Amino acid sequence: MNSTQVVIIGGGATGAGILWDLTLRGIPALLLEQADIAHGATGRCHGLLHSGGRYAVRDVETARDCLRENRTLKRIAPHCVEDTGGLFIQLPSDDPAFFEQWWRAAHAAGIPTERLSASQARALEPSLAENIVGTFTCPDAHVDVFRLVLANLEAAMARGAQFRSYAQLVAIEQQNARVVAVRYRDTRTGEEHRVGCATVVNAAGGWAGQVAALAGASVPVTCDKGTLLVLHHRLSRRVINRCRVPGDADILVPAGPVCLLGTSSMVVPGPDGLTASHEEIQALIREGAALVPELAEARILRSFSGVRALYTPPRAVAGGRGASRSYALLDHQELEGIAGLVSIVGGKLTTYRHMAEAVADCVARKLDVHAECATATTPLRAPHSSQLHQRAGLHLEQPVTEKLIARRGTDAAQILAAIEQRPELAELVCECEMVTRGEVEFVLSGPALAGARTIADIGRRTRLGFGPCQGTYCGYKAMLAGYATQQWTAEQAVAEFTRYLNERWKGQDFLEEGKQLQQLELSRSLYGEQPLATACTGGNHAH
Amino acid sequence: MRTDLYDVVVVGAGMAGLTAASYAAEQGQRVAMASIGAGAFVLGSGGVEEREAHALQREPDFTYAMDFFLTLAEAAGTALAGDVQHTMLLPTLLGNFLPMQFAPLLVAHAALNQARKTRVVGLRGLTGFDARFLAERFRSEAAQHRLPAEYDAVTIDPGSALGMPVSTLRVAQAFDRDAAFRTHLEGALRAVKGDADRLLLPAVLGIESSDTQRAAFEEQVGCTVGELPTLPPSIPGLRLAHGLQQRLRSRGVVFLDGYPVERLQLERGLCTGLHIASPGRGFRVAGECVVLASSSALHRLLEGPVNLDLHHRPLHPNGSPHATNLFAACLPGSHPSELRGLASRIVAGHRAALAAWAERGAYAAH
Repeated sequence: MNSTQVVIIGGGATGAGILWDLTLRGIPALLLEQADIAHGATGRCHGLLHSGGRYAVRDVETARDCLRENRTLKRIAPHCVEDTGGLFIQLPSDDPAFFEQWWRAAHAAGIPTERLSASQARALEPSLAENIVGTFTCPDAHVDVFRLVLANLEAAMARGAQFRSYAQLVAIEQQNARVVAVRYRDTRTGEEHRVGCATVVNAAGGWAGQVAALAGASVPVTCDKGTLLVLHHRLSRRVINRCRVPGDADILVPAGPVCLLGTSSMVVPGPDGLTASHEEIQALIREGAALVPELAEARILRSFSGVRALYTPPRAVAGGRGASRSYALLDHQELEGIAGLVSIVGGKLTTYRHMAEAVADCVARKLDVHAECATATTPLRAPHSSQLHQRAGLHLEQPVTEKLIARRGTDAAQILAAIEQRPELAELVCECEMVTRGEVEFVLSGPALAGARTIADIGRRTRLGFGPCQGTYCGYKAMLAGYATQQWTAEQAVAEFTRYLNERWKGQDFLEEGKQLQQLELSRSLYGEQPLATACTGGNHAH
Repeated sequence: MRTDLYDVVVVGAGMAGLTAASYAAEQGQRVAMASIGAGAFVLGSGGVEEREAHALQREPDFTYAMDFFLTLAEAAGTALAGDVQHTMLLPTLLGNFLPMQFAPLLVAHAALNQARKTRVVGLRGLTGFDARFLAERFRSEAAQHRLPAEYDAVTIDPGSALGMPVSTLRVAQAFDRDAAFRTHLEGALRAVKGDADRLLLPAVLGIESSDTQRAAFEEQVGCTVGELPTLPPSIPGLRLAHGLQQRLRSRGVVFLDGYPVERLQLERGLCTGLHIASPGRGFRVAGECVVLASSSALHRLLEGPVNLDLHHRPLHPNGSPHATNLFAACLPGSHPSELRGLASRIVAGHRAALAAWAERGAYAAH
């Protein structure tokens, strides 16, 4: 491909949302991602689909945006959302005035809520602390961020849009102060490519400043680091929020078989090389245990850190929780006279679709395209036929079928066809997340639209390795699948797996004893030399 | 409440606990082992890495403890090969060669050595083992070690009786209990042996079977047979644990499996009992000496970081022992997050049992 209309930089929720929105308007577009889907903030957050409750008191506009998008997403992407509901909990040390203020603010924002007594709340969520004072309900939910990004990408690609992973932007070429092309390098092969385009959309999150700089433009972002912990159990059924002025470790989100606790908030110089200190992790646990005491004893699977890219124009006071969580759309033609470059920064996962709409409106205007946004009403995935369940039932256990169809939708039919041909593909490669060998082969080298190129890529597409073994066993089997399908030579496969394990085991050096440490010892005795990580992750992603 | 009385109660059934209980049982003491289940390390390869052995050589009792364990393992029909002087290069699942000091007999047969031609044998349907991949890796690793060793791969059919997918556990159980399966496997291996002087299999040659039975099997196949530890469940670790457990049973050791020790009864500087939580009716066991040989039980029962005195007794933060008859099977001075393997557990279990044995009789009064 030598040219397209629009090149989007950044494969997070925003970039993928923009690709889908432009595609629905009939605008040809290419998305370039420097690593794999959801590599930045999208893949390193709670996966909380906000109801708006967290922002109700401070920022009613953001709260309303969240609530509207929460409802929209539950409608257009039900397969990505687990509608858990949420609770806002007041502890004895929390300001009672804030609690009452929250109630009024939630009503003002239109957030449906109920007031529960402490005993009612504990009946719903027995793991809550005994000393909780009051509780409000809200429609918070969990969204599988990887599935959401993939759903946007695949929907767009099915209609002709293009996506390249491991595509590092090298240059934004201009003629007469107008963008004419981009150059990118495939970081896995080293090859460089050039693509002509009329517009570049910078949706690179924490890297937005670096991308803009390639065009001689500037995007003032502050990187605010947040650290999260993945815990071995699902300690609650609902999202648990602390009802106070937002602070550290006051949200617990159930996510599949595990749950996530976070976050901290700390301004850092940039989005790369993040580390979480032992103290930071201890502080998260201590704070979280005030809401859910079991957290103090829970087995920590891993920690990870990401950055929120907050838009901080020179006049604003920089960074931290005080900075606005709303987004900024920058047209560099107006700002710096560079035609064809647009940046989108800030914002939040919950409102990604709304941000994408604003960007696509702007781009469409520039390209003189008059189509309206259709993403709020177009389902991200076509409904699958009920026959698929029956057909899968002949080869797979029911829970395996359910997970396969939830993940792959209509594509499950292709995987089933392969299993019918070769029954050994029904083998479970990842037992925690029930991923068959057929599914691994499908996303790895097969007909998947946004195919996987590494073992971690397979994980983001299937949840392989997200359970308690953290990829120690299933990652190995996935490696063998890559070898058997001639994706990798034996040497490449080993290099790939070693890289994967090192990444997965980062964020484990706080372990002192117990099951997770035994897991680590076992891993070493199985594979021999496997250097241990010395720092917590800046690395890959959540769950 | 029911109370059972023993000379020694060992908490934890991992390798440290098995070693401690074995030492006490070999001295003719009445021993009970209380644990929530087998230790996690029985899922491992049952060997000792060179770097662990080297690190432990500064411990004065390392050789003594290892000799004790090696004699024990051999008597249990699950011997370890190796000694402290010579290092073996043993294959891993990634196709590397890992320097090891000790390893189960058939695992040691897989060492990188003068064998001219090794054939890696896969079992059709066994997940997580790819003979072709391993042979390719071993070839290139052997070349790096400048050894003229050849490796190739072949896959055999383990027979339809095992079902699909095939697990190492199923194959090992069939090997133990089904003579027809053993004969089938022997035949299949003979058929693919060709000009190879060694066959390398995933480790599946029985859990309950003894070394003598495996040697007879090897004889029938007609060439050296080496085992490669697999993803869990890994048979060599299970085999070693099983052998030691059987030997303990034959010495009259009582296994109190399945329920956690809930708390220790500490009175006037003595541990006078352990409360075991079983559903419905909890019960109490008491021992003249108690050995804590599980790091999670140690942390849970004594709350917080644990230091030991010279007699291997865990200490209060104030510096005095929790109880004069309470011993811990962990190595003093090692940070808990240091990775430890089989040898550390052997030394720790042996040392705690020895300390308890030396102090016996001191509590005759209680």
